[in-house]
Amino acid sequence: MQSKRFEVEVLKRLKNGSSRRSDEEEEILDGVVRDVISDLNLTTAIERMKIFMDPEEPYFIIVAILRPPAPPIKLKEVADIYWKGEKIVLSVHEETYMPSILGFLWKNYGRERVEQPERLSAIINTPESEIDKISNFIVHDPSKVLFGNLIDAFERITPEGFRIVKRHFSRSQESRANETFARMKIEDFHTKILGEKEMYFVASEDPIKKDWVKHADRLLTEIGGE
Amino acid sequence: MFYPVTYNGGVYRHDEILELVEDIGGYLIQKNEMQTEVLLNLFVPKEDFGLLEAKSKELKGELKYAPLAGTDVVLVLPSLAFHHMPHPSCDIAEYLRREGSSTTMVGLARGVGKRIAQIKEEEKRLIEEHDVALFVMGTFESCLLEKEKLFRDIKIPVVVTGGPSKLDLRYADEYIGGIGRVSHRLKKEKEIKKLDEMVEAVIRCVEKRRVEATNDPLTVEPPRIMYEIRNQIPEINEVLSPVPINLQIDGLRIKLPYKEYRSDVEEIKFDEGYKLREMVKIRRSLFRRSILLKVMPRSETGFTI
Repeated sequence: MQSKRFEVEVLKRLKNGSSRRSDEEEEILDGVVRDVISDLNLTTAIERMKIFMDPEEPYFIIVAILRPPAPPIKLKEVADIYWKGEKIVLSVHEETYMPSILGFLWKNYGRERVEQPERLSAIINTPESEIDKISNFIVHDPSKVLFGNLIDAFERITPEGFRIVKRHFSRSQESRANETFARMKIEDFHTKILGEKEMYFVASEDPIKKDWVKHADRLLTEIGGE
Repeated sequence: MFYPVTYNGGVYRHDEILELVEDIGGYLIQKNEMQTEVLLNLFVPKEDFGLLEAKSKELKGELKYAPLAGTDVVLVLPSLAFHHMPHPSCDIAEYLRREGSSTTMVGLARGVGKRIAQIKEEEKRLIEEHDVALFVMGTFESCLLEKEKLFRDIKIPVVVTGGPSKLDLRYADEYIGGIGRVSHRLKKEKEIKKLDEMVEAVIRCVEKRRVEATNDPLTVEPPRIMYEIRNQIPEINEVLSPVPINLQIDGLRIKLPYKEYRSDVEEIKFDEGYKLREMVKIRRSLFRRSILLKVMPRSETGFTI
C-alpha cells in the first residue's frame, strides 16, 4: 500500500494502434514527482496521488486525495506568556516564529511599547486584558502555505507546454459537478481549500476535451475517491 | 596545428609555464586563479607538447589534453523555467565548462510543448554563431520526435539529450538518452556516467569539425587573432565579462560594441604584413555589444600565416 501512494502511468502507442504502459518514461516522471513532493514538504499533505500522461494526444492528469492540513499554530503553543511588573512578558521557544510575532506586536501596540531585551523574549507595555488577544494570535497557518505549495507542485510536475489547465477541488460528490477553481477569486482559494478532500488537475496544450475530464473522474474513483 | 590542453597546478612558479608557452609559440586562452590553485587553458603547437609536459612534471602540475578548450558550446532549452533550470541544464553546462569549453545558455521564446513548439529564425542564427549546439529535451519519446523540427535546419552539429534511452533522430548528430527532466542535482553514479557520455559526444562533434578544417586550413588560427587583439586594442582589458574574447573553432566573439570598434578590429596588423580584414568576415553578433569574427579558409584568401 505504501509504495502505491504516488502512482505514475504513462501510455505508449504502438504501431498497430493499441497502447501499453511505458516503463522507462514512467520511471523518469516518477523521479520528478518524488523530487518535487519532497522539495515542497508535501509528503504529509497528500494521502494518495495518481499521475497519468498520454504523450500522443497529448494530455496530462493529476488526481489526488488530500489529508486535512495541520491545525494553525497559536502563540500560546510556542511561547510562555505571563504578567509581570505591570507588563506582559513573552518567552518564545522557537526563533522561526519570532518575525511573525514581532510583526504582529509592532502593528498592534506600536514599536515604542514593545521591548525586546533578548533574542527570544519580548515585553509589551499593555493592560492585562490584552493577554487573551496575544495568546490566541495565529503564528503560522500550515493550510495557507499548503495550498500555495500544492499548486506549485502541480505546475512543476506538469509538462511545461501544457498551459491549458482545468483544476477542480471538491468536498463531496454534489459539489464536484459545478464549481471549478479556475473561475474563483484568489481570496476565496484559502477559505475553500480548508477541508477539501479530493482534487483533479487536467492539463494540455489543446483545449480540454470532455473525455479527458471523464478520465480524470475515473482515475479519482480508482484511487478511492467518491 | 594547435593542441588544446589544460594545466592544473599551484600558483607558485606557474608563470614559468606561461613563459614557456609564449616561447614555443602557444597561447593562453583563459586563466583561473583559485586561492593556491591555478587553472590554465592553453593552445600549444603539437610538436612542442613534450617540452611543456616535462615542465609541468617539474612543477608537479597536471597537464591534460582538453579537446573542448577554445570551443563555444550553446545549450538550447525549451524555456528558462524551473522545469529545466537549474537541473539538469546547469549541471550539463558546468560539466562542459570543466572540460575547458565555454558555454552559453539559450532559452527559446516558444520552445515548450509538443505541437505548439516553435523556433524563430533569429534564434537559429544565434545558435549558429557557436561551434556545437546541445538541445536539452524532456522525457517523452513522441514529444521528442515531434520536436525535431526545432533543429531540422541548424547548420552546426547538434547533440540532443533526452529521457528515452535510445532514439533515432534524423536531424541530430548525436543523441544521449537517460537525461530527461530531472529536479535534483545530477550526482549519482549513473547520472555522472551519462554526463561523461554527453561530453564524449560533444568532443566527437568538435573533433570532426577540427579534422574537416585540416583539409582547407584557416588563414590564421583564432588564438593568434586573440593574442593580437589583446595587444592592439587595450580596451579589451577593461571589459568586465569573465571571458572578454570567446574563442571558437573557426573564429571568435569579441565582447566590444560593434559600432565603435569595427574599424579598430579591421585594422589589426600582423607581423607578416596582413591586416585582419583580409582574413576574416566581421559581423555584428546577435549577442548584445559583441563582434563576431569568422576566419576565412585558405581556399578563399589564397594564403595562410
